[in-house]
Amino acid sequence: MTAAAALAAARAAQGLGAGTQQPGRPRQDVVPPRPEPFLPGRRPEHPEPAYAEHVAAAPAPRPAVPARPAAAAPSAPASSMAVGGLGTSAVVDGATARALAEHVDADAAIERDPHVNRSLLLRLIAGVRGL
Amino acid sequence: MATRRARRQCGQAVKIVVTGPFAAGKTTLIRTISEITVLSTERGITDETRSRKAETTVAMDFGRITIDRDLVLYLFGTPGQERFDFMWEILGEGMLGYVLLVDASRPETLAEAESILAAFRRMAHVPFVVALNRSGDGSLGEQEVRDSLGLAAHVPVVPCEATDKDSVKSVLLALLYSVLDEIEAEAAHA
Repeated sequence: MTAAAALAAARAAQGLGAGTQQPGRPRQDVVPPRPEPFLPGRRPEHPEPAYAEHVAAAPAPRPAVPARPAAAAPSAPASSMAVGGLGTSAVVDGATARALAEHVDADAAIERDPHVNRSLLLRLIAGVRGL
Repeated sequence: MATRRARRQCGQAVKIVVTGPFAAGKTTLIRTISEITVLSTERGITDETRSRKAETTVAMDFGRITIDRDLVLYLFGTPGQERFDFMWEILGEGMLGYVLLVDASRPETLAEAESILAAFRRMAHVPFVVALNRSGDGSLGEQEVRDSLGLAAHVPVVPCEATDKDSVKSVLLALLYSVLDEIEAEAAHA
C-alpha cells in the first residue's frame, strides 16, 4: 500500500475524506466555537469627581493644537507631564498627571528616623549644651 | 557586613541640614560650630551675584559635632542657589530636622526663603526652625518672617549671629527641642 492509499484509508475511517460525508451524519466542525469577544469593563484612570472638578476648573477649552514640543515642559504647570517619544512629545495636564505627581511626592517624603527616640534626643541636647 | 559592623562600632550618627537663600550665612554657621575643618565645595561665582560674595557652595558643606563616644551629630549645608537644588533631597535623606537660615538684613531674600521652605516641606516631614541671621542690624522682625513664610505658632524663629558659637548653639537647641516635642506628642497620642 502506498502512502497516499494509506492516508485515504485513514481519512475514510474518520469520515473526513473529500466527498466521504455520510448522508445521515452532520459534518464535524473542526474549528472550535469562537467565544464572545472579550471587552474589559471600563476602568477610568482617575476618579470621576476629580476629573469633573478639573474640567470645571479649566478656564477655557484648549485649542486643538498638535503636540507641543517637550522643550516647553519646564514652563508648564506642576500638574503637567511630558509624554511621548521622539517627535511625539507633548505636554499633558490632567488628573492622571496630578495623581502621579502626588503619588511620587507621598512616596519620596523624608520621614524622621524611627530609631531616634527621647533618650537619644536628651543626649543630643546635653551634648550641644555642653559645647 | 563589614561596613555594618564598623558602623555599629562607631555608634549612631544624626544629621541636621542647614538650608536657606544664597549668602544667608549657612557655611559660616556650620564653620562656627563644627569641631572639624568644614568640608566645603565653594567655587568662584561667575554670574551677577558675584557682587555679593566671591565664592558660593555648589554641592554641600559638611561639619561634625561629637556628642559622646557613641553619638555624632553631622551638619550638612545645602547650596543656596536654586540651580543646585538637586542636592537638597540628597542631603536631606535621613535628616532629623533642618534649619532655614534667613539673612535678616536682606528682606528681599524672603521670597527665595519661602520657595526653599515650600520645597523642603514637600520633600520632608520633619521638624524645622527658622534662624534669623544678622538679626542685630537686620530690618526683618520675627513677626514679619512668620507672616511671610506662613509659619505655624509652634515653629521656632530664633535670632542668631552665624559667627557666634553660643548663638548657633541656641539655634541647634531650638531644633532639637522641636524634635523632642514632636516625639513626646507622638508618644502621648499613641
